[in-house]
Amino acid sequence: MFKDITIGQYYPENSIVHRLDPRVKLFGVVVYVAAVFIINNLIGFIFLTAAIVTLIALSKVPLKHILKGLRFVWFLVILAVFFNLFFSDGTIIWRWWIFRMSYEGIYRAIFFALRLIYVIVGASLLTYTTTPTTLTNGLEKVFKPLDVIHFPGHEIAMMMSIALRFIPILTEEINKITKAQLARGADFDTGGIILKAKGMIPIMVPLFVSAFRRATELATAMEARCYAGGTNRTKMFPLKYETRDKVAYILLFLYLLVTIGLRILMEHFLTWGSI
Amino acid sequence: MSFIKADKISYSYPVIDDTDEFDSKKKKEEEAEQPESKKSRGENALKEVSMEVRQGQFLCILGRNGSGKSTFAKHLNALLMPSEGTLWVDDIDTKAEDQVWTIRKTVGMVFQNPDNQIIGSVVDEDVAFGLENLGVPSEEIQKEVASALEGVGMSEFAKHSPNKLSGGQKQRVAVAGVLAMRPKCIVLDESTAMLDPRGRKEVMETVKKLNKELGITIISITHFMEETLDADYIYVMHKGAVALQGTPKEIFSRGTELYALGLWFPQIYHLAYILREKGMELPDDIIHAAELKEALEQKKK
Repeated sequence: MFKDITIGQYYPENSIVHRLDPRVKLFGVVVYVAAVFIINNLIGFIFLTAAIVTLIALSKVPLKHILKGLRFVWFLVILAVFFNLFFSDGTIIWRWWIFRMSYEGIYRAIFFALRLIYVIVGASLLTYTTTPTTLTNGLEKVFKPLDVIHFPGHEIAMMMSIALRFIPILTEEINKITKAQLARGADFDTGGIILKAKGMIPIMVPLFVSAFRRATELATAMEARCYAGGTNRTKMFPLKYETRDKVAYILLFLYLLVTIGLRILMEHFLTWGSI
Repeated sequence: MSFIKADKISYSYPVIDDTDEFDSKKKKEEEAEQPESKKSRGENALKEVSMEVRQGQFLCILGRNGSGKSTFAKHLNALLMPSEGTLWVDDIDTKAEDQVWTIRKTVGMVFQNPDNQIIGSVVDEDVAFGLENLGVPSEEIQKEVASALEGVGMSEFAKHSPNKLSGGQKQRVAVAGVLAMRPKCIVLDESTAMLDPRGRKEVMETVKKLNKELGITIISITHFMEETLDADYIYVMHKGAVALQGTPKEIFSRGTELYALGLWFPQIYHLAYILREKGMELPDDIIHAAELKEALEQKKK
């Protein structure tokens, strides 16, 4: 049932992008997503494409693998394109019933779709090149300064890593429960959507009961191993910035500056190619 | 000098009474029909249990479900505190709140379900969990983790995901997680109950090795008679109290008394018992296969 989800699954490879510090990569995604929405001209998009293509090439993750992850969002893209294409105002070039098409609409549809795809490709590149554990470690470190306002950074990171650890266990359990209920004559395949949803109840109830029992046991086990929250905790492999991480930070800053600069430039001096 | 000393400890689980009168009446009726183990709510789960464990001992606590053996185990590292009586671990009263971490470091626990006690998503990270909690410096953690994994023979799996391991391997990782904290004592709370015979053997051999080579006290809580054969001493618990105690040979020679406590002889002892019943003259303290073999060979001569 969960076998096909490739989006966000770690792709093991030993590339420079894989080895980067997770904090750098998180910052990179923020810069990248910001850039995608700041850009309002063709040159910016060419620049962005060059950047992401270079990153993908450096990461050694096959393009095919990345595009495969996209198939879950095609529906979203098509929906967005549809509305932008047929319901935009502007210089109308075609009209039928409630649908109307305009130059502006076509532009907007194309670039909206591009932006969506770009964002997803960029964000998934982060999870393709970073193990969940490293990512949670990175998040914990990033949230650390927020301790002053009592933001539970460590707790969130701990919950994420426990959730990640239990996903395969609970998936296996779902399969077991499904089989057990099938053996008792449960029917999951016939009937309408409501009947099918109702059919999930005999799977969900035992799953939840078992998940709660697991949680209690896990809490006891953690307590027995001296867990007392995030204070005074150390790490076996603490995150440390290398030279490549510092270089990456500088490049990201430069990129952000250039993107903002391009936009200002375009708005003031040039009129062609803007979107 | 005893390492762990329980002096008449009693414990009852807190009862949350949120039932109205009708419910509680109904519940009482239900409880009357239920087996012993479920009825213990409200009653004392432990009744004046006294035990003594010496450093370096291999101790077994036997008992069927609901005999209070797991409740007792949870007292050993201050997960539960006795309602009455006192429990000393390495001369520390477990009720001393400021000593909780010292006690949990001294007495490590391995639980029943391997999946529900592994926290890390990589083997070595899980082994490091306890040390990370104690705030040990990174380099030291790496060293301790490596030697703990070596100790349980799981070094080659250091970078594996725990999900891909067998039950026995998972439990050995759990043992390593405890071992990394350099405990004086490891408590196995039915740690082999969910394993297949091979995994059970793996885990028992590992802890026996730790007991012999590092002198770590092992307290194994179980209902498998076979696992108690090599123990230095056995306590048999029944209905929250110690029913029998002694060396394995002393315990098994009690015969049908064990049966009354919901336990049964180990296989070899049982075989020797049947042979004796059939009229063969055999010494009545045979518990190991090797001993039976020797006795039978002597008969042949």
